[in-house]
Amino acid sequence: MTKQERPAVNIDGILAQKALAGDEQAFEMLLKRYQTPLFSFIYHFLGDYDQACDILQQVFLQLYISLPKLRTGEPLKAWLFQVARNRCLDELRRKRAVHFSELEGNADEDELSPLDALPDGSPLPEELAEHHDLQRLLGEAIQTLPPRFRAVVLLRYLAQLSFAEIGQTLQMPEATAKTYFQRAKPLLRTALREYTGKVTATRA
Amino acid sequence: MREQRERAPQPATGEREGEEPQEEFDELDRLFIEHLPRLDPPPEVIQRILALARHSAPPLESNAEQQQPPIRQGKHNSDGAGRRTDG
Repeated sequence: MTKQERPAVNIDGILAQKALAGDEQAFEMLLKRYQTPLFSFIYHFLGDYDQACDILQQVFLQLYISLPKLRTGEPLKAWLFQVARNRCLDELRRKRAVHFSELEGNADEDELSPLDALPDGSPLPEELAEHHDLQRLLGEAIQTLPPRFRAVVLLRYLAQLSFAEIGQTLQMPEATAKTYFQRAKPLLRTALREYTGKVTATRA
Repeated sequence: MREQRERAPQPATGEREGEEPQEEFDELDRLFIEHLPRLDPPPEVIQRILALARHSAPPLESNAEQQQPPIRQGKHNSDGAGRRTDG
């Protein structure tokens, strides 16, 4: 990258064009730009490390295949997360046989059905204050969210997308993305309270 | 990846230069923003992706018309890239 490239320049587009022209390093740079946020998103969406590796691979290969049709004037971020989210939903459908409507949001938005699917009795950390355990706690709380809320929350917290970008990524109005985010937060609070309560009870 | 921080939901005290107005971020937001782990994929996964791409047929401009543009508003079941092209 040259010094001429200011933040306003669409680095993704430049890299995509170079990759399309056969520049392997450009494709590798694209991977490096997005591997961590994408992998984090996928991992926290699925809660499965090995699956996250597989899905990440699929997403980046999809990117490679799609290079010829990329709109190089637009950032790739929303597209990459859109592909990742769709792959995650596919995986959830396969793995958990979750009903499509449940995943996509036609059901009552306040229901907490995925909570029931959580494995019960997974060992909880005794030292909740430790950072490692806090991270796990947060990840578990994310897993309690309905997938449609989970995607919004992860895109917001992890991928750092604006609500407009989240809407674009998830193909929903920006206002809906905001609404989902706000509805997810009480669920997260509840989940954290439940886990905290369990730990407290265990320790007592 | 640092540039992505530009749009990070900042904690309540965070600056919002050039940002759209956002709602305030509370303790819960801060907790997740600061502590939900960001994970790097295993290096071997990245190497595998690069190897697969290297050994795949190079993407051709002529394929472009056969697929939808990547960032296109569509229905839920689109694959982000429109139609699915892989397994």
